[in-house]
Amino acid sequence: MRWSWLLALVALVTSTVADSFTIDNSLWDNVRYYRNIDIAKSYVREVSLVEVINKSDQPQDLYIFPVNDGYDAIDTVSYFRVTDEERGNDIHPIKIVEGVYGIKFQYPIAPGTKFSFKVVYVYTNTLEAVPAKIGLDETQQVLLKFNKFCYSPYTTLEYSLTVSGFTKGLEYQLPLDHYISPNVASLPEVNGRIEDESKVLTYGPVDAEIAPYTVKPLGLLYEHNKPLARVYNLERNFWIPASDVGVVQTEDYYELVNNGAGLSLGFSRVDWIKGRYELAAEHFSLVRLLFPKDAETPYNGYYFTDKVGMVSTHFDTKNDLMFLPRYPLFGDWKYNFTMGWSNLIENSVRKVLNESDVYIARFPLLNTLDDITYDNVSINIYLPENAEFLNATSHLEESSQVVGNELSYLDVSDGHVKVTLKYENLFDDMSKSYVYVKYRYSAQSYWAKVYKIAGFVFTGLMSFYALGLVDLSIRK
Amino acid sequence: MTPSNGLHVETVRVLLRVVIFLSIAGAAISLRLFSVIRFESIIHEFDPWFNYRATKYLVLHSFYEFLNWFDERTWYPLGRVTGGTLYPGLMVTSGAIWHVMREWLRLPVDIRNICVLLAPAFSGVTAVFTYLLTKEMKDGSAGLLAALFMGIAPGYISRSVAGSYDNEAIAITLLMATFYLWIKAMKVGSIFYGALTALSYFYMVSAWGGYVFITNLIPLHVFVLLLMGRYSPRLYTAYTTWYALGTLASMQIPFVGFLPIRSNDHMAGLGVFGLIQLVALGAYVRSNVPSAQFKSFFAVSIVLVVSLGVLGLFALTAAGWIAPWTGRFYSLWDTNYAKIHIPIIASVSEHQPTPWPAIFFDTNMLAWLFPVGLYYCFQELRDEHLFIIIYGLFSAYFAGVMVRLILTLTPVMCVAGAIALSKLFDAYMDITDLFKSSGSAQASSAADSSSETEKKSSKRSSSKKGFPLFQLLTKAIVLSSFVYYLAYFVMHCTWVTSNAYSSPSVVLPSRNPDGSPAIIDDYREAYYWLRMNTPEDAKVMAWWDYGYQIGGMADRTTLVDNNTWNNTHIATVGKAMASSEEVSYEILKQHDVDYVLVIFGGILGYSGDDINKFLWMVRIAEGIWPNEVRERDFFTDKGEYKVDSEATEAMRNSLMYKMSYYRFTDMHNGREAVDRVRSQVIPSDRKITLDTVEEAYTTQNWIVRIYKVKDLDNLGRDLQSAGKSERQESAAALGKRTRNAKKPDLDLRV
Repeated sequence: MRWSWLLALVALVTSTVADSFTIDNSLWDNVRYYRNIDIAKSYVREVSLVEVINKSDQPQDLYIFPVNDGYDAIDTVSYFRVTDEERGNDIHPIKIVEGVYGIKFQYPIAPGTKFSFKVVYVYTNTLEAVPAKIGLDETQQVLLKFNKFCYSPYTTLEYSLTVSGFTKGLEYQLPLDHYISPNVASLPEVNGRIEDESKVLTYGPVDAEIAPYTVKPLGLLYEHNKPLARVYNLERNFWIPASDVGVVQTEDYYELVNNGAGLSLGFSRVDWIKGRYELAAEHFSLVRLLFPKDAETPYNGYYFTDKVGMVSTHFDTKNDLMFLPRYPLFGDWKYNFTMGWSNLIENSVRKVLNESDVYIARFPLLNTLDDITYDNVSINIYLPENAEFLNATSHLEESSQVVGNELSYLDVSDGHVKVTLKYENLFDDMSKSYVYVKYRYSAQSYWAKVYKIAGFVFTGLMSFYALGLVDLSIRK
Repeated sequence: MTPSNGLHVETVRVLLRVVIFLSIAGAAISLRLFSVIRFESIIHEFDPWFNYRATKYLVLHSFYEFLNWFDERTWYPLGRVTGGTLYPGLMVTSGAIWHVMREWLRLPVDIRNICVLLAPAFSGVTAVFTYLLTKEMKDGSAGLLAALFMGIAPGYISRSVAGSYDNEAIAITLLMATFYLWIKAMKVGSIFYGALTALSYFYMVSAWGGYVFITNLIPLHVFVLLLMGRYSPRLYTAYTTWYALGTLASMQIPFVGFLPIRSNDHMAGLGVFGLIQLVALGAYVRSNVPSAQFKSFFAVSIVLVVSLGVLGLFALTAAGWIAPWTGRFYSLWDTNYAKIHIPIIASVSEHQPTPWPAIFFDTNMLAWLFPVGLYYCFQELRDEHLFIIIYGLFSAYFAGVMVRLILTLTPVMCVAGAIALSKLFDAYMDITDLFKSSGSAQASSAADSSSETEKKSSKRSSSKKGFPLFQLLTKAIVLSSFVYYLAYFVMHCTWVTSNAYSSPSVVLPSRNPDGSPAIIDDYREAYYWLRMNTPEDAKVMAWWDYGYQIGGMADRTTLVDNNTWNNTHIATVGKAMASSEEVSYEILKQHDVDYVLVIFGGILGYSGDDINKFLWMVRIAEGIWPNEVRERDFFTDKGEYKVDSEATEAMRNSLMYKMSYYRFTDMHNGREAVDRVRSQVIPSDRKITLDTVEEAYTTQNWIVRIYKVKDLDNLGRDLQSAGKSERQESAAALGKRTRNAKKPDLDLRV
């Protein structure tokens, strides 16, 4: 439904962005529109190479780019990046509504001039297993829903689509013919084929005029015998110490679910053992999580717990920290756990050179798990008590930023300053992204706390002594 | 001792005493931490899981909400008025500690850690009260010995290791505190100490059902004192203060309510209260009238009082004003009573009669020091010694009846043992008199200690002249052998604690193939699976042993749990387990059961599994439905309990048997499989089929097997015939080998 209201919404929302704005189909033509959909992982990454030409008689700098869908197959876009490949710089997209972006070029494009750019975007939680329930020994098949053409507000002249990252699959007709637009007759004939050397499914390229907003829903059912791991809540806690203990305590809380296929029958331990699925290289159950180790996160003194206590199934190998949930996760099975470890403070906290008592702390957005997506991520950074919070920022735009307090051990005044940043719809690659927090913490605030605690202890002991002086005896 | 250096000696003595106390507390606490260090900070066993859950409820809600807590997640569909049927002392204690730590000391400790470490912390306090109590009996050195014994005696450790968060964890501390305060009150005759005794008694009542022991023991002590003609105004003051205040206070606990004036268990206290009034009156009369008149007055009043008392008791019981004795009370006197009349009580292993080795295991040398201590008490027989004698005799009897009552015996064993040992050491460690003349020895010993026996022994030994080689040798031999016993006692206690009492029973220790330690964590695996992957309102049926754990760890509604208040409900579960699928299915559906959970140890050799408990389920069910479930049907003609090819029809058809051994032989590729608990061969030719439930989850070592109760059949068939036809179909399909794999084409079909 959203898409039918597109124009109205765009007009409405952008009226606040730009003063007078409508999508004018006649402004641009897509000279070439090459799409690639990568489904090697548990989320979808799409790369579009677009070359456009300014058809109007005015210089133009705004190009509207809706995410290639057109029939509500993509709920939320997790990541959207536009680059000018030739000059090698980023173009900042403007999110107009969910799934519709305005690409504002750095300079206006003259009439009749071509310009090419690359759009990369990722969306999560759209893949589903078909059939939704299978037996232990079967292979999981995943359905990708996509638009066979490009959903662009402009006319496209040359178009191609490739799908990569799978080995076996077949086209799957979605019962969604009512979405097909403009009409079936005017759609150019495009058939998929497998390129032998590159092992990708290719449609086109075709040199045909594709009308604006062309939609042809299509499914691809492919074998993907790996779990579709999804963390629907992740809470990361970083405790910056006040004194010079030299470590930052990290604690992550995961709420994990497998989006893949469920079991058609109950879980049979006999079949599980006899099939050796636990050790299988590829199986649709989520058996283990691998946390690669590196110099920055060596997982010193790590531990795993859940709500009923310690989980002992973890192994420290040379390159990874391996964690096995209490039970293998099949489709829709959930598990949650907490893992904690300590890091050297040098890796994450630096003193700012020319400002006194000011520090900058840097923490990765995500842990280094591979092939996994995250719905809600909240990052809590606990500054020492009495620290003054200055600023927090990150590579990605956070959905909210809250500064509060948390009372912890021996916090005798307001407690640790807690900076919370929230993010939505992330995926594994973003572990390379960081959050930065700037704060001021002086020796004075450190000693203030020490003296306060010492004062309390002294008062306590003195009052105990004073109580001892009172004669309570009744035999007089 | 001269005043000039007396201060100095006193200071050293206090210092030493403090150091000894700290060491005892350290030893007591650290000895109880084996399980935390070996495993983790976790709540143990079964009952503590309920206490832990209740404590969590208390810290998340207000105190009044806690007292009014109706728990609809247990005893489905009945629910339980939890707030009114528990002893809140334990939860309130840890809740208070939690609040103090969090709000006053700024230490936001997790409530779980407080619960886990509560028992060890209180064991340190118990040692202090044991010291004080023993000090009243003899002297400080006996007190220190008793404190040490109390700190490390396995009989007490068994109920107070870290993680065993049970009522007994604080109750023993309160028991000792109440007894100490009682002795003090009785000796001093002060209202102040009487009131303190009542206060401590109130705390005890709020914490443990075993308070009835105090309720009967103190009146008994007073009664014996009265019989011995040892009435004094001090006794009167102490007892009346304690009884009046203590009874009123104890009635404030919702679970106790009006029991102190209605139940027979509490009548002794009331009777003695009345009696002591009469004795006081008698004493008053005697001081005012001549003795001849007093004799007749005495005789008449005795007859009157006894007949009135007995008549009243019978009348009130018959009229239903006073509750008759409870079954648990009868089982204290007749060990076979429970087995015949209340199988639920008998089915609990800790309610079994105590075997002799258990007493030695739990108390070691105290077992034989205890009578010696009692003998010494008889020798002196002051009022307070009488208390130890009565306490010792009664608890020794009860400990013989029920294993778990060794717990109440242990403190008095420690006290009596310490008295005995201390007397012995007093006599044998004093070598000064061997080298001194008789006069000076007497003087020094008189100054050093007020003990009578010591004086005697020093007199005897100092009469000889010359170098006392033989005396020294005797002393050395006796002392060294006792030092050896003491050292051995410490070793024994450590060994027992480490090996027998430090297993959380939720996790089991094991070894990896390479010999490194590992743990078997099947319980938590299953409970967590239930918690994460079943609907929040799912009802889980399991034998009552696992009720509290399922409530605490899996957070799901249970039918029955360890609070065995409803025998019929438990019998219903027993019947469901012991009957054939058709009968069980009806019960399961009637009770909205979604999942059934069984414990099975056949793969691993874990003997505490449900098949081994099965006979109790049968017996309890038979108690309610003697025509439908018969214990006899589960024994072979030879009277054996078999699960192999000789298993009886009833056994093989029971839901429990089927759920335990379902697909068991498949683990061995369809060949015969050996049940490693019962060492019996499960035949492979009789395939076990389940039609009304389906396997939902089985843990890594098969210890917990969870089955999902099937819905009614879509086609309206009953589930047995549906299952049968399905099996026939699949067998036919297998026979024809028509199942050609239809896999997706390799190439893309466009």
